[in-house]
Amino acid sequence: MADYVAGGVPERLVPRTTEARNAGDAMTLAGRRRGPSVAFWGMATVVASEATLFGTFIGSYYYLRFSALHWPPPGTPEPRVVVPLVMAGVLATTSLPMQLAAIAARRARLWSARALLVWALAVQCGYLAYEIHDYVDQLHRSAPQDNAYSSIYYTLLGADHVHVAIGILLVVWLLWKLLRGLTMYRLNAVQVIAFYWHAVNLLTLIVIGVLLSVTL
Amino acid sequence: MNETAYPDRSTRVGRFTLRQLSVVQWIGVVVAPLAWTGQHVVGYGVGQARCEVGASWGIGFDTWQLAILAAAGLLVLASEAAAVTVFLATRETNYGDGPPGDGRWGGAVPYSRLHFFATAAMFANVLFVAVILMDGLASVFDSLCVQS
Repeated sequence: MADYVAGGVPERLVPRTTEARNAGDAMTLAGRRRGPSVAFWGMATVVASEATLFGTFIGSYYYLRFSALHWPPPGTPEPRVVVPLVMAGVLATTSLPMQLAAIAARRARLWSARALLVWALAVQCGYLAYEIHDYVDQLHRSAPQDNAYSSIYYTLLGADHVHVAIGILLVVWLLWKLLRGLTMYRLNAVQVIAFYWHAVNLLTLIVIGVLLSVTL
Repeated sequence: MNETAYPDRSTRVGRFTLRQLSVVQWIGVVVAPLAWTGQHVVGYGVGQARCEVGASWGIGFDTWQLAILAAAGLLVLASEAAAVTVFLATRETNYGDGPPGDGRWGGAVPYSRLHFFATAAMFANVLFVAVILMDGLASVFDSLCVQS
């Protein structure tokens, strides 16, 4: 083993994530970082890909809208305004506990991190349960195959719900992992999943805004 | 745990400094998607100009599309070369997860980020080659100015 690595840095002074196997070490190592973790860059890549996907959906929505004489077509109900807006606003508030959980984990406050994740999870599950009920209810009034409006409406809304569901699964997995304490890997996971939720919440607000723009 | 030290960004890794590798890494990541976006938007614009107002600026539509395809293809090849360069220069990285002594800096942050993006870009750029070929060739072989 070399005593010195490039730049004249002693080998023994180089940090390794495997050394951080408890909350205190993880906090210490995170404090020494000079930039985002690779885990963050991985999630940023995922979010960029999803943003591209939703960009094409939203582009398709407006392409269809401005090509159509009537939007939505006669006989297709307009979306409700108040309840989706309120629900989207409620979901957006979960960015706060998610971010606080990331900060708590960063400070090695494991129980605070767990409690904040449970708070966020409860709201997220409530949101998704209502939205699935509402989605199924809407399917009884109009079907995706009815016309172009219904196709893009259900695609956009359904894709957003799928992202919320994936986020919930990630939080459940995270809570399961945190039952066994905090390591550097798990600290990275808390931070990047909080970042994922910020993106999903923003995405939900944009999707709801696009879908409700028909009522303006 | 030991006190931490990180390599300086002016540290050389083969022929490049870490700062130079960082620039090359982002070229590897962003040039290919931008090339495809440019090809798609410009190709669409050329088609619209031809079909809406009959403009061709003295150049055939297929020639336009093939020229745009070639330009985008060259950019993706440059992007792939950049990604491979960074991948090879940083191949000793281990994301800090290996045993002590593995990797030049045992996974210090700038090094692992470079390798991560270089690896991702190498594979993604192959997909972008396929996308650019399909986009360009479909524009040439499909009928122009009619609903597909």
